[in-house]
Amino acid sequence: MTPRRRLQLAGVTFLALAAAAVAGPALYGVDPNALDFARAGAPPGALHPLGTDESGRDVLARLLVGARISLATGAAAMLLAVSFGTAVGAVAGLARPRLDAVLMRLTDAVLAIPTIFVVITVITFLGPSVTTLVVAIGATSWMGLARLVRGELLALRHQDFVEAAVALGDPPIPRFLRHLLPHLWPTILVNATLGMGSALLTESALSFLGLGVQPPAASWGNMLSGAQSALFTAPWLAIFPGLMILAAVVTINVLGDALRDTLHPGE
Amino acid sequence: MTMRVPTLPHGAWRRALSGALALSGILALAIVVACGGESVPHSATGKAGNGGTLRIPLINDPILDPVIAPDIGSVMVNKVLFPGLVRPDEQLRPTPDLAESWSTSADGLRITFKLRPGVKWHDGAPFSAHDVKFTFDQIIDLASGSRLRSDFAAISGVDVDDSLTVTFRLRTPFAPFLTLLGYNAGILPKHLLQGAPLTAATDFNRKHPVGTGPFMVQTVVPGTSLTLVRNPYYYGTPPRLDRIVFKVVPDLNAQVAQLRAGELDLITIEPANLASVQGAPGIEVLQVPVVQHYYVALNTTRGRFHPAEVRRALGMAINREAIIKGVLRDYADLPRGTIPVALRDYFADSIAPTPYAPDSALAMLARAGWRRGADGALRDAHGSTFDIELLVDKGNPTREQSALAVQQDLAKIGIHVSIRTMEFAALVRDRILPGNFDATLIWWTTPPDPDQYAFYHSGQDNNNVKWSNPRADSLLSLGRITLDSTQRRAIYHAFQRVEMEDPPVLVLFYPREIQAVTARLEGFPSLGIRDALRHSERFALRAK
Amino acid sequence: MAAFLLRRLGHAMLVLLVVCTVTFAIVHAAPGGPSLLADPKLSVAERAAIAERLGVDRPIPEQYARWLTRLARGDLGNSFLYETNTASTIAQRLPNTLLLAGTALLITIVVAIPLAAWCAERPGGWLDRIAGALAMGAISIPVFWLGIVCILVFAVRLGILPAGGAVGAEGGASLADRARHLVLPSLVLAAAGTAELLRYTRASARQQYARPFVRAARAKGVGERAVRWRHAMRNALIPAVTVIGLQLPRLVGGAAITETVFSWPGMGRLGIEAALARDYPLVMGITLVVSAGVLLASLLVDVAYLALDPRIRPDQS
Repeated sequence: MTPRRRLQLAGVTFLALAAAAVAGPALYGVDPNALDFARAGAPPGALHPLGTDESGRDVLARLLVGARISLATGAAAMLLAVSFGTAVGAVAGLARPRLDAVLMRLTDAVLAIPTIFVVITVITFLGPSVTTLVVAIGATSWMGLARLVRGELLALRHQDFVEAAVALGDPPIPRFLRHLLPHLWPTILVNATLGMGSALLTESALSFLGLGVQPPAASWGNMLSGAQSALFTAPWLAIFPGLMILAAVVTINVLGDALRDTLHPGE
Repeated sequence: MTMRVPTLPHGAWRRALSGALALSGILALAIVVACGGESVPHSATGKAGNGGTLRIPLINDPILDPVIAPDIGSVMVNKVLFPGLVRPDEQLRPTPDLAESWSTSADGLRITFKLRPGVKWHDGAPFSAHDVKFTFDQIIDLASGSRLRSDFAAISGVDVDDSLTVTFRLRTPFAPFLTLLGYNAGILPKHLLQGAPLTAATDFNRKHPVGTGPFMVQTVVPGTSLTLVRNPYYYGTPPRLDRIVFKVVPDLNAQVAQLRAGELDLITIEPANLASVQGAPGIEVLQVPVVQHYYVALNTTRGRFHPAEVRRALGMAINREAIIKGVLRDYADLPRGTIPVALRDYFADSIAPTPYAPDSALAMLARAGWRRGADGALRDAHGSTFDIELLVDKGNPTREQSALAVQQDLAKIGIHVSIRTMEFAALVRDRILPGNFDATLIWWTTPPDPDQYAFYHSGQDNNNVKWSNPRADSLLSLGRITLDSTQRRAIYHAFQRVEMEDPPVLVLFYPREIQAVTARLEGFPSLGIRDALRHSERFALRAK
Repeated sequence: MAAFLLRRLGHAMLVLLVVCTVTFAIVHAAPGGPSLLADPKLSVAERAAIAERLGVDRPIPEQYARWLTRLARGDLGNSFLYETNTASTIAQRLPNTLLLAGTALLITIVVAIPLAAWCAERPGGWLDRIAGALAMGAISIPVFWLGIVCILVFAVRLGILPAGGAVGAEGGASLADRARHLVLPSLVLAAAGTAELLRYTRASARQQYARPFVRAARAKGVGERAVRWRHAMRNALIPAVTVIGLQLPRLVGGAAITETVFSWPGMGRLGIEAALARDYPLVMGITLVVSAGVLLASLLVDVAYLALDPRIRPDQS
């Protein structure tokens, strides 16, 4: 498959996921929170296409509502992390050594706090709302990109074309945008795609610790986490949210790869 | 412009190689250090009986001192290591353990215990009445870090009459006294602990506890396990098992997996885990009623929960049978008042349970001024809606699902319930203790005695719902000082009737403890695991 | 070089102080307070006595000052949860975490780098496709989920590996026994990191192959092995070192979930317990240890940069 073809395919899949998240609940029309103990743990069938969970709630309805929360959380956290990370990395990589040192020490400091404790305490402090999750995940996942961007800029700035641009007297910001940013795109894109995927995964890991999106609201993460106890008896409870996470993360990653190959056909 | 073709200098490879070597060195060191469990040498470990090792999970490292232990895991281990003066039998009645017999003075203010002669501590030192006095002096001392003080607040002093006779002086007659002695009050060795705060005795609490129980600590590997072996000095029937190993397995689903993989022998589970152990080869599922009641606490300082008729109506709008069947998978009993069915001697089964009757509930609410508007919402005369914020601690599927069921049932009569899940500590400290809540779904685990003075007598510290009923107050006060069991039963039956008329809380169910055990387990009494561990010398494992 | 290291060490100490202060503030501001006080059965007097004994009844700045003073004397205080000295509690768990994280890191490096070199050379080949698909899977599965499925398959169904713990329950602490217990958790912990390193390294190695100096080297007739390791991979290793450096804190802190699933007696799990129980001294102690470790690792990463790319001068970092 050509990169363009893969880009189209992944783009269409991603749009389909997003559309399911936006329009799915209304189209499907089943209440994702309605309890029905008489039909708890029903396998997939005519009445419930993907079965019901341990409280008799419809799994498909919860998956669709969960798609909204999970994708929105992942995308928002990723955007936050990527924009902040790129900005910090770019300033550090291009600025004078003193500012660079300050920014890198800041990055080190945030990196040095064990993320999981920060996230746990921040979430327990502010309550596990979607906004808190986005901020907590975003604020603890920008450092990697910042260091990568800075590292690449340091490597690039002795390349001849950069030295040439400096010699020609280009001011820093246009110089960054015109000559350097294009070289950073692969890193940023790979990081952004991985970042969105890992934000989805972080939410599910937090659900495992009881700190993700809180029941009764549905997210793929808390559905997956809640399904652990029924692995032997009701595997569909685990399989469907697991597949959704897998599908979403894979799609986003393929999208990133394809974008990169399309933007940099020579590599 | 010339193209630079960088090559790798030899030095870089050398450095990379030495980095790899350093990494391997750290790993090797870590293996060596991590391997060294802290083995505690002990003298003889007794002759092998019919043997075997029973493995039970804990969620973290226990504190091996019954007086200061704050968590359930520690309590379980301490029940094996530190016997009390009495222990509960299968009817939860106190029977002799370290005490052989006892007598109560006519006024009920002095209880004298004759101790069993010839008992030795795990280190071989003799056990005596001085150890009993030392233990209770610590228990009632506010500064000792004691977690048992409120159980024994009635004690005014302990006297050693002779080395095997000890007398407790009480401020008032105190009916639950014997039951509480058999609950958490394990006896500590004075010769090892005197002179320093209990909480400072780290070596004792963590590695080298010394009790009088049928098993004693052999090895402690922090974060991993605690190995108990037979106590050669044990005073009772010789233990049948060779060892009891308490393994640290923090996650319940991991415990279930380890049970199925044959790495654990006895776990307690939630209804949600039932499906994964039922029908598994070599595993049996047991159930025991335990002394707990799960309930929705309504903050009675909030006007909308008055008069009592409103609380009764809310109770009738909740379909308890559906919750017990759907959420608890029938592993619970239908409640009456706050005294659970496990307290066979005191539970009033002549009382009819609150019926599920949403229509009657609406009629009663209408009498109290709450009527349904055109939108179906319940409103008072000023048009305000009946809204409740229901707090539930997070991470427990049984309580979360019960909260959802309550929300759905109350929505049917026009009451809007919003559920808020919080961490348990935050729920208690920030909401319940300051009285800053409408409703919370919570539970009490109590000693096997009907005394609920601390929870439901007006003005008491643990009466978080601020319920106040003069008749209940006098019954609760009378019940704890009445020693005659027939009179006591009548008092608590009357208390339960009061509760049906004026519910202090909406009791949802009395859960049963679900025990998933290896089918090889024998001699395990039909008791909740904590009380059962008071009889660990009877446990045995059939040969494979 | 020595001056550079000294200056970086000084910075690291400063960062450590900031980290501690921020963590102290966050932990104390969090609602709930120590779980020891949250037992609803305590009477008012008992709760007050416990708060006084733990020192949490004092104003927060005073508590912080006390903590710092004690720290200056090398005393991390007593854990609320364990009633034991925090430093020794951590010291008991640290080797287990180092063992698990170190093994996982070793697996990551040994698998990812050679595989990336191979894949970058033959993009679209069968191994590239399989590795790409596996890597995609590994970064798309929640780690707790992978762990539970592994336990169910290898311990419950097949019964060939233990379901959890670091040693057998009956005290068998032989090397073989430890190795058996290490297999599943280290592979599960390594999975995502290996996939990530593979993807980054492969991507940057492919960029290198397209760069003129590699083409030039090939045109000059330099052998394929030499092209791969001396030219392409050597430059590709710069971002790889960064990625490895970034994985270190995650290996230690993020091992927490793996440790919980596999009942591994490590520091990550201890940290989660401590944070959930608001065991202030233990949270602070673990933060201090992990942060110091990570800062050290970041220093090593900078040193590795110097080794790999002599064009990067110490004065620029």
